Amino acid sequence: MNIKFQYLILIIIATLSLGCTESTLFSNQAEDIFWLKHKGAEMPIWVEGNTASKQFILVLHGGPAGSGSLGYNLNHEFSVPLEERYALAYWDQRGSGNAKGNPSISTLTLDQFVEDLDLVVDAMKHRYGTDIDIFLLGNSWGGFLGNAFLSHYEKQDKICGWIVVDGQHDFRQGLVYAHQQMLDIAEERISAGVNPHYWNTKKESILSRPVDSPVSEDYAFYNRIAYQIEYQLEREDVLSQEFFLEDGQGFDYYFQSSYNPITSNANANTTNSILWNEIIQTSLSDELHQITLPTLILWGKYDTVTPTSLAYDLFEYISTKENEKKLVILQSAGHQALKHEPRRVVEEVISFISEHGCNI
Amino acid sequence: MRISILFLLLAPLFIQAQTQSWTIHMGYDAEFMTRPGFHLGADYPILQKEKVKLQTRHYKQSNHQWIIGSGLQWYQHQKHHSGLFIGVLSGYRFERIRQEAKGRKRVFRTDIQFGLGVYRYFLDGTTYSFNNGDISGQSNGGRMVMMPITSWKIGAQFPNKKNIPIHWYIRSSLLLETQHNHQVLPKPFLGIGLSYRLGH
Repeated sequence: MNIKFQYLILIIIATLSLGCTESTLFSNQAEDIFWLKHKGAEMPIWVEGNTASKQFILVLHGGPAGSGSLGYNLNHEFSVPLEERYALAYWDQRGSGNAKGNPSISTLTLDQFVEDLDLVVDAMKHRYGTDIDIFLLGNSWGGFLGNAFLSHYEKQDKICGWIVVDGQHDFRQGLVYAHQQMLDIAEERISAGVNPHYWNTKKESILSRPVDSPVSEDYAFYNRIAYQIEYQLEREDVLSQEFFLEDGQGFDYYFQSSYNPITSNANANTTNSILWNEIIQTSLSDELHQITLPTLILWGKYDTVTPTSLAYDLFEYISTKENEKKLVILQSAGHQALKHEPRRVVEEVISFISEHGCNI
Repeated sequence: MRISILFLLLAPLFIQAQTQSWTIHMGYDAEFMTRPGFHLGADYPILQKEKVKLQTRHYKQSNHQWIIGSGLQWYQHQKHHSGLFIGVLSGYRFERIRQEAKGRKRVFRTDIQFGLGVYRYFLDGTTYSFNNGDISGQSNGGRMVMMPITSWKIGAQFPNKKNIPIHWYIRSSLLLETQHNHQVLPKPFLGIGLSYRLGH
């Protein structure tokens, strides 16, 4: 064989094998990736930060069909201080974010996502050792998934603590709360004389859509209005914004990171609508009493996507001992608490983990 | 599957006997503009129509070619996966040659091709799977799927006294990953490269 051709083959093989090298598992600046392949889905788990601490926070992203990296890893106000102390595991769920594979539509169910989460936890323990502490941090839909997972007694044994940030557990009840909370916010802003025309219009819009017997379109309507209200409250400086993209960070993230918006959008197109139709009809309210884990609940005061009253319900429904559960209402945050008050979130998470590690 | 890959690679050679010259291409290619990779390819004109216009100081020649070829594309999506595509392509090439009386030759070339191939992606790190509660890990996890491709090239011959047919080109291509979560996942590429016509 021609010697030049042999060199070419060698170069190709060497380049291909770059993706095969395992990074150092335990360090204070780990950058690891592994995948879970299960029932047609290939789900990436990026583990970044201080794996040497042996304390892991497994992030359950929002959505459904959001991304484990976008909004969490990108949010340096949130990720950097936590990754200094702990290892953060950013998992892209089945058919979500930058997950690959072609899972059957029949596997896009809440039960399957719970099963996947169980296997992700098992894979983490297999990879890093059974002596690691794993905390779950669920945001929005991730809160729903975490609550569903932890409502099984036996699964709680694998987890040291549960951190919920604006997490769902009952869409039907949440819609009733959202309706009222939106009206209250509109009234408050009108009374304060701030943009009365905008808030009167919103109020009329909300009143025109009763929530007595909601259908799927009503959830979509309220979800859209909730984000519009949140952006308006940001403009009116009711919500603080501690997280901003640094110059060039957005470009780097979209074009030079593991995140790919095309993949993420394609996944969302399939998974979100399918899962959404199931979960809006599912209430976990009657199952939350099974949760006995140490739990930290962080919630934006102005969250109308997962209304603040759900936080109080969650705090009340779980069976965790009084001294092992804490509810923090973030006064200047909405649904995107990690964007509005990431520093307070980080402070509370560090305090919580220092008190409730499995090995403490 | 192996037989189809072999066929895809060798398909252009089957028709080699029918043509006189073939062109090879190689260059840098980036998935989603910044994820580095490369491409290699070869193509042959299976049909060609020439139109020559002679003038006092120069002549112009327009070539319309139907081409067929094969291509290989590889890229690395950092901290995620790398992908390898192998396929056959066919399409149309337009070439305009302007030859000055003093010997200076300018060649402009553009082509558009469509094709089909196989795509295998290799997941970074270990891929774990469970079987009856037992966990196992493997390197280079991933799948192989069919992948349609379309590519467009535009370029010109480097000016040189000996008229060596080396061209530069800019290439954009769109690969469509089938069977991705019940969607067709587009993969846009942008690249630059060199091509060389053999047997000139």
